[in-house]
Amino acid sequence: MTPPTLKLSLACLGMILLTGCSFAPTRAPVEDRELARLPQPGTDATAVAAPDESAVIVTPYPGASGAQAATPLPESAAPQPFESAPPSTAVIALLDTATQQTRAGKLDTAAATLERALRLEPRNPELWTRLAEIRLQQGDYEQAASLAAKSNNLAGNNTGLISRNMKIIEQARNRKGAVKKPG
Amino acid sequence: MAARPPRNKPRASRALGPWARLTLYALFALVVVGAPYVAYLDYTVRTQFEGKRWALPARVYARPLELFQGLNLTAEQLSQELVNLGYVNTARPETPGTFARMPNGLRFVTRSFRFWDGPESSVSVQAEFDGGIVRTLRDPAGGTAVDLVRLDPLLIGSIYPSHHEDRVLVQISEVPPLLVKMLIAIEDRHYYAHHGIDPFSILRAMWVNLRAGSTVQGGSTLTQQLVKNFYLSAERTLWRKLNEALMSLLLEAHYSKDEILEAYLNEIFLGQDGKRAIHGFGLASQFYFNRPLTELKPEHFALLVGLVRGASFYDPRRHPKRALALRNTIFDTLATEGVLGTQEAASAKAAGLGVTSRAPSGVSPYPAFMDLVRRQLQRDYKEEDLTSEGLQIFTTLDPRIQDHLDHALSTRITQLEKQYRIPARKLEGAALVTRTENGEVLAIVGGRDTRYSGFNRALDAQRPIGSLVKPAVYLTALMQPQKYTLATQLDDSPLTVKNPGGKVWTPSNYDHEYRGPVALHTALAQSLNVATARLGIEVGIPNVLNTLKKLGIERTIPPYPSMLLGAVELAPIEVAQMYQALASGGFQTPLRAIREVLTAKGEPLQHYGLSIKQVFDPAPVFLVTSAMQEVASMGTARSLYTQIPASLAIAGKTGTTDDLRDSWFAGFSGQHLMVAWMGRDDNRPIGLTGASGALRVWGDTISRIGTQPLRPAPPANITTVALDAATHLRAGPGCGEVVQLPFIAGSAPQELAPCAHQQGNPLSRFLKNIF
Repeated sequence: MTPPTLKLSLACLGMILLTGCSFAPTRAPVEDRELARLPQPGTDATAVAAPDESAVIVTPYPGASGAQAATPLPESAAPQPFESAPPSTAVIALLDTATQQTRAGKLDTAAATLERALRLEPRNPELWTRLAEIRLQQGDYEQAASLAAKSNNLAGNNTGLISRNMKIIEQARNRKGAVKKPG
Repeated sequence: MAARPPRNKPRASRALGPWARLTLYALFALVVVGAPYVAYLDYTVRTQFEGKRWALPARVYARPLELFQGLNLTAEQLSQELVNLGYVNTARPETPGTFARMPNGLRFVTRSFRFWDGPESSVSVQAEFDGGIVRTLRDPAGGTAVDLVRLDPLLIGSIYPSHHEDRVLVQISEVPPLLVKMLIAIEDRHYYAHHGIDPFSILRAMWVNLRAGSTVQGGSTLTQQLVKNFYLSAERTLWRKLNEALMSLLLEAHYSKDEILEAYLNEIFLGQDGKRAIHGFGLASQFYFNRPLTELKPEHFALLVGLVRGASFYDPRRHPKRALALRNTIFDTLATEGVLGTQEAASAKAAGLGVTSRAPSGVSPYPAFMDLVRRQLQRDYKEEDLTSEGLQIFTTLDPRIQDHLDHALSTRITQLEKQYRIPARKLEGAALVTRTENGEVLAIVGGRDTRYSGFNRALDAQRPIGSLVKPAVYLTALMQPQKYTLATQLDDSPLTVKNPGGKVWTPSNYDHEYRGPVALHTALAQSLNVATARLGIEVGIPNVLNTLKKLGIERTIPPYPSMLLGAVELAPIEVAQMYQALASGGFQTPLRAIREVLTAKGEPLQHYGLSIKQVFDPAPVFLVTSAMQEVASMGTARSLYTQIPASLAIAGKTGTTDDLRDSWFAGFSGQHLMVAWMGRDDNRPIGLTGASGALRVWGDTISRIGTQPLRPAPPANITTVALDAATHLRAGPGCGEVVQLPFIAGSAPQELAPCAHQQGNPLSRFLKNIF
């Protein structure tokens, strides 16, 4: 917390104590700093009335590792393993269906089935890879590469899947190059 | 197609007497004059019957609800979904479209339905719920687990041709035989015996009418009725009667009884809904009973058969007594004719009309969403195809989320108007909800009157976006990890910029205070204008514009410095497109309202597949997302967590424009992205900031729809480092207030904070804890 903000917060607190005021934001140029985080009659904003940031000692940063920092603080080397819950039976069933549809050459239908599975488990990297593989087969190289990259983004330390994705990206690049060559 | 004259051509013969010869000449003359006319009628009959018989409106469906173990859904929500689909609550659900409540769940039988990826057959399911989650899905007979259940989708609208004739085609094979039997018994007893006209029935009708002194009975066969409706005008002349008879004979000569009956079942007029004319038994079944024909009972069939006689006179919603009397007379006739047993007829007579109190409206309850669907369809289809081909459009709309959004926006606007003394009915709003991972639009509201299909603000109101633009500025900076990190100290001191035109621009902060040096993540979380403007100028306005383009903003934005603080006019849907790229980790994902299009017969026509494009390296997107999470946890949107649990870890940004004219909030969870806007159509100040206006609707909606927390996947090159909060240098044991920030590997500050050199002792830590 920077000192000016602290001062401001204390001033706010003081004003509340003295006047019980609820100050509406004053007119100002483009800005939306919500000074008026104070209770406004009839709103549900009361719970954040106290400017209490000075009480924060350790501020676990959202999105970052939640480890408490008390001792010498090196960079935490590896990111946490990313959620790797086993896929649900519904997704397994859809994956089976997609496999059959792919074997039968119904690639569009298989893609639709995988999209259905992705609606159930959008963060299942396997599903993104499978969709990438279908787009590769269909000759949609840009989609294939993007979908594989998306899977990589979610794959955590699933090295097997990551190397599958890298292969897709490489093949997509090669074939796209081959297509673009004249003749 | 060659027209064929009648087959029974008279043959000339010399061995005839003079009278016979005269007759022959007369006949010959008749053939010469009449044959071309008959040929013409024959041609008309066949081309119209064999061509496209009706202009069928496109049907627009919501997303089908898919049930699986672990889904966030309560028994009440499922029950409501089934009721909306017209499922009937019965003690023992055994036929499609029925359900029953059980102690901890529901038992129901789904309807079969043809989807893009194939037919879904009807299944019997027992669903058990626990703590707002689907616990088990089983087959009630064998008890075996069911992996996935897909319900039929809710019809949310149709795209009508200009004459507003509406119908749902049925095939003769899928029409319940009892309905056909009843229809024939009541309207045309000799249907299967005659050749288009029924002399006996005409004679009988004449006799009855003579006795009554007026026309009380018609002698028309079903074929004649079809011809009358399908080919002829409504005038009642002898000439038309003659045409009707001739055409009926011709129709019967060419087509089978079943083909003619099928056409009849689809053609006949059975009701009126405002401008919309209800034709055919398929649509009438939906219109009166909110169920497909196959799910109706004898009492429903009898009513529909009765409506053939006069759909407005016997309208069961306006004249229920009249309709009931007619239906029961029909049952008497059916009993006399032996179609139903006396017992059966008597018990059917005891049943109520069973008509739903309100007709399912032909006007979509979701006009803003339908508007988006139409616009997306018009890229690929001609208007004429949409109103005549009977296309089936499968959309992404989630009716449950849409209903919550409608309700949240309209009630919150009314409440804010009172609270902030805004003149009544002046405050407007718009909002939309999408899925973060695939860009599907789940719900959209275009104004405070959510059922009113007027100005669609979500798509068409271009308003300055204010601070919503800031994440683009910070993302541009964070893409250069060697120069900018979340810990970089920005300069929030007075700034004056000369515009290309020579005009001077002096941005100021909302509270007119300057923070001096301030950490980059704090500047975004607290939405500091001056620090942001200076940062934007440092990284280069063209680079920020390029980031916006990559985020999916197609519009050309003038490269003035004021754009850095949101002097950019966008519609809510464009903002959603922009934030979609952040929510999906740096992948541009076009917003889609349509999944698939099928032909009227259920053949797949077009699949609007998921398409993504990586436009940013995931690491800087991860960093800017972290700072946007701070907006909600500690920044300008922190009042959000009075409405929803802080564990959802929402990333978002508030936006407010000059003189409080526009109130914006755009943010996302792990599952949903929502953008909300409030303002006035006349662009006058509303006195609301992003947090006091749009953020409230945002919280109202998200708190009700149930969503997953945001846990962005950290890219492999992200590390987390603890810093001294005051200096944003490396923290050590002696440091009291510490922040943990993510960094792209190698970019974290190396220098130790002064406090890191001190040995932390319990007393000083205790004192720091107090202050």
